[in-house]
Amino acid sequence: MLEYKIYGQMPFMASIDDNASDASRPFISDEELIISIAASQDRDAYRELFGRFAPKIKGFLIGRGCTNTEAEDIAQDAMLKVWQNANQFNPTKAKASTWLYTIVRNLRTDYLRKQNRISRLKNEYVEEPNIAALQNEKIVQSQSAKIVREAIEELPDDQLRVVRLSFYEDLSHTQIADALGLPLGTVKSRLRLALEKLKSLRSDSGEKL
Amino acid sequence: MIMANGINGHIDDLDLWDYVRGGRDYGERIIIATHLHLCKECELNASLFEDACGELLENSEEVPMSKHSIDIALARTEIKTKTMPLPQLQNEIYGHSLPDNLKGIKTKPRHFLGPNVWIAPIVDNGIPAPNQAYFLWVKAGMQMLPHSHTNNEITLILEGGFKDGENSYHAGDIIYEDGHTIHAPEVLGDEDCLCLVYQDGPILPKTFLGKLLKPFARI
Ligand SMILES: [Zn+2]
Repeated sequence: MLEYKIYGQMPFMASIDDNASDASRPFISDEELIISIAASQDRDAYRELFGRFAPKIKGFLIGRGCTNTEAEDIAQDAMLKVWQNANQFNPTKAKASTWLYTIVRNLRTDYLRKQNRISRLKNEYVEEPNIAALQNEKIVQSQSAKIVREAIEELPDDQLRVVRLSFYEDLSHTQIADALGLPLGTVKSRLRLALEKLKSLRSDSGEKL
Repeated sequence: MIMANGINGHIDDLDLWDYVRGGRDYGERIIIATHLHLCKECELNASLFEDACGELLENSEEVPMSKHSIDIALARTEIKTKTMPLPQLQNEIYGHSLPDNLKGIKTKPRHFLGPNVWIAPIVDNGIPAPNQAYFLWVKAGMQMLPHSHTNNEITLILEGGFKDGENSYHAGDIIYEDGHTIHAPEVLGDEDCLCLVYQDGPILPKTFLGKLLKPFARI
């Protein structure tokens, strides 16, 4: 029995959010929480994971231009998907944050498609199943969180700024160039250098380190 | 059958990043997703970019959820979802099998531009997207007259292959065309060629492609 299972079954756990940093309890990783949800529908683990991620997802989506309500709804939907699909999560293949990110991204792009269709079709929109093409949640071996974090932290400021504007603000290359007052070519080459750095986390054999 | 070994034409890093971060429109996302399905090389890079995005998500500025959000979330986990039988999804187009990720893709009926070429535009819930992705089928032994493009164009070969000057391209390859290159591709060998094409502008006039095609001179 894993330690967090015991933790999850304690009756006072309903208010655990407030005590998450209590030194008397071992820190439970995001990955372990998802495994616990999959193994035993652990609602306390879900509550904890929700507390860790939902506000970040909401903040990310607002940064991408969602309204408060849209961001809250998509964050709710993303967390529900975590609950429903927790048994598909494989911690040897993906970090929790990577897995969550792909869920949020796919929900957001589906949402935008739907909005786009509504605006094009006026009121003729009919719900249809999504095609498999954009449910690309197949994940190959995930790089360790630490290595990826360090690689991002080590990016020179000018590259990191472009990456952040692209990711958090959802800006195109041209919009970034305008925002920073730089030639388009400079923006592209900075982003390329940053992406090269990420790709270099692969070993020579083509696999990730 | 799709052979995806020895792929030479890959997704540009900037396009791959935009795909991973959730940018680009439907048609372009489809073509990139399909290449990732066929190409281990690009899939590995995409997964590294996804790791980076996961990391950036973790560093997102937090915005508090509304007061009762956790109660709503917990209540929603109680709702029993009925597992619906998955609809039978089309996995081929006019007799050509498609990669799994394209299962259920919807197109307009194919439109013959001549006896030896057809296109079938991909539709997004019944309507073509303003920027088009479409299937293009060209019979073996055909060659196009030299032409250039007015738009940027991305082609992914699904079956067969073609030759363009010194370069030849095969199943799984991505080929980029910008508005400047003049080229005259010819279908390789005796296998018909099926491609997925995306262009960032309105679709070609219906007769344009048909007029460009002629039987390959040596036949
Ligand atoms: Zn590739």
